[in-house]
Amino acid sequence: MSQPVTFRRRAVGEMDTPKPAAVGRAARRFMGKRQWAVDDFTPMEETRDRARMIRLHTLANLHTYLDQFADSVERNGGQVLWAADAAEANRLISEVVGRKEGSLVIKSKSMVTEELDLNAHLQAEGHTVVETDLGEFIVQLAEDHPSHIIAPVMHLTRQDIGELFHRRLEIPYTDDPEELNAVARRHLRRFFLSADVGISGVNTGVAETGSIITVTNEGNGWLTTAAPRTHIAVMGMERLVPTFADAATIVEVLARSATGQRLSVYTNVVSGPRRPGDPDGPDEFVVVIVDNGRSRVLSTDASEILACIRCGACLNVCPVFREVGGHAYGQVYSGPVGSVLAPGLADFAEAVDLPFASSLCGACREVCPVRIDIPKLLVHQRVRATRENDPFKWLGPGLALYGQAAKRPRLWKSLLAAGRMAGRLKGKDEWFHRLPFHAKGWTRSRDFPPPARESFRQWWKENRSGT
Amino acid sequence: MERKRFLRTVEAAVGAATLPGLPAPHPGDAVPDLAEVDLTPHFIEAFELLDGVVHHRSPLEVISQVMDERGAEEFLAWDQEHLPADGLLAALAERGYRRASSCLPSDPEGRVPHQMGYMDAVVGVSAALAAFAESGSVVVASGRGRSRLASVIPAVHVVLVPTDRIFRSLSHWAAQADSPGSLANLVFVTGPSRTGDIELTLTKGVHGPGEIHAVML
Ligand code: SF4
Repeated sequence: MSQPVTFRRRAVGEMDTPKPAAVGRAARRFMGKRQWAVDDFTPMEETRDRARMIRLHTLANLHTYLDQFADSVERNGGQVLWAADAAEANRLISEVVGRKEGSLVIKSKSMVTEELDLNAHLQAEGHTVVETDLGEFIVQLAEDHPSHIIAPVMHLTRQDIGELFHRRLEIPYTDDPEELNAVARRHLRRFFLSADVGISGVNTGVAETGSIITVTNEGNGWLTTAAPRTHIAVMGMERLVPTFADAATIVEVLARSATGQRLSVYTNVVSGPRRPGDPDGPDEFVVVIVDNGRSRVLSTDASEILACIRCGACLNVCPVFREVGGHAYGQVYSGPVGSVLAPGLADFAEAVDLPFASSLCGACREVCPVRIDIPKLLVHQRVRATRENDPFKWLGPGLALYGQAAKRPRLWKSLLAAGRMAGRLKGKDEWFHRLPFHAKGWTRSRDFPPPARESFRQWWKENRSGT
Repeated sequence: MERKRFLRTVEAAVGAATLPGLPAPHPGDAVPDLAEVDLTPHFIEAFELLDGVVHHRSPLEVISQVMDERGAEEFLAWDQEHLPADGLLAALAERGYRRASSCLPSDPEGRVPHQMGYMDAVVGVSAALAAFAESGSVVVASGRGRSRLASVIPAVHVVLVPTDRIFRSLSHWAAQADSPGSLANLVFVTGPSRTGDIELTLTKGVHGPGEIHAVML
């Protein structure tokens, strides 16, 4: 089986760097905050039930609500564009951006544009693209990739960031978060006020009113949609709810689950371009609705994953994510949600090993604000992976050999003795990272324990026989 | 791709979807709890918990004080008719504070030079369309005479909050809001701008105002 770069290879690489320590620390702090908010908000459980019903209802009628949404956006004076895949989305967006040569584009954090690799596309056409979320800005300066949905630079320490600002922004080195913050504010302000185009994602669209909602804590989402002449909102086609009241429910559970706030600092509702008489705001409002594999996911056993509201809570509680960090997943969406979604969205073979990167402990299901049964969906994806591209081919021949050996006592004993010898040669209590022949499948995704110094039979003879 | 074809693909996928709980009914409208409570103290508590500053003095005094503390002479603000404090702008002018224009010039080419004038804006004054007691949020709306940038650009945001506009929560307000999509922009502002991106250390004012003052009316 040929796999590009496996989860295992990336995970081992990530664990050898100091990053995961930072990720683990950060993820645990997120969890602490989340706990506080849940205790604080009495009807949280009912609100989660409502949120789940709203999302499932929307998915079950998605075509109808998308149609209504598009009508509403147009009624408000906005424009809707439809993109079947990443290539089409990038082409449509660059047609709008490219009306002016060398446009200055500011962006507020958006996973879907990561998925499209939009920045690279626009830059290749000669435009300047500036990420404005502080974390994404740092990622862009470092020419890196975000490692967490909500906290993209979880994997960097403040010394890393101080060093980076010193190098790229030519300021004296400091690792004081307040000072780094002030530098970023000043640096980015110029871009906000003079940009030609603002590109945002969409946390949720509202079919009834044609609104798009972005939530940020920094205010960059608001600035991105308020200052430039043109606002382009890029929306995954499933990010929709029927009514404004439904959207209120969603942003309430989103804020609580994501960061433990009652509401994010800026919940920004945009319903079209500025109206006649408005003193400021964009003259032009364009929504690009992106499929890019979502209708394929919708038609499979894993369709429930599209109810996700991207709060990131399942990442923070996942023991695997906490060990290896976001980059090990090698996809835009990481953690439990990514392990289900990525194999659906991406070329399946590229992410085929992600559904196996879970112990199915169920912490993600517990914490998910819309109660998505992630472990069940992971199993669905495993079944599909095994059917289409069996990563466990080694298991059959391996077990057959084991059977042959186990039936022949003398062969069995001598194999065990050889194993013990190999263990002693390797040194005290060293785990095997690689086994030979048909057993190598075992060590592809786990280590093999060192053999005991003496066999059970020897031990029995010495300690228990005759009693 | 045109809309019809896109939607046909989605419809086919919906037909094949194995969603739990089909036919997946909408939960219906939430039934809001409307028991009489004085929401003002709740709002104030939540707002202060977020490091917002609450004032019970006149807006004129609060704004003058904020301006003086920072040595600012100019401020951004909504038009007088949208501020629930009669004669506020005239009184500020009398004290020698200048209001910067927050209206874009009619020539589209003039937008950037005009906006660059806000680089160092210190104080912005606007008013709340509504407020939420549970989260300590204020609703800032766009519209004629109501600049968006006046609330988000300056380092300090002073927002006038009429106490009869306080609702329990966002959901309670949304349940009764009349065509919320008719205004181009609504923002629920919940405390000062903050980020935890650098090792999750909380810092304020990264892009939006680092200070928010509510003047209760
Ligand atoms: S799957 Fe659930 S917990 Fe995970 S990001 Fe989505 S909504 Fe949040």
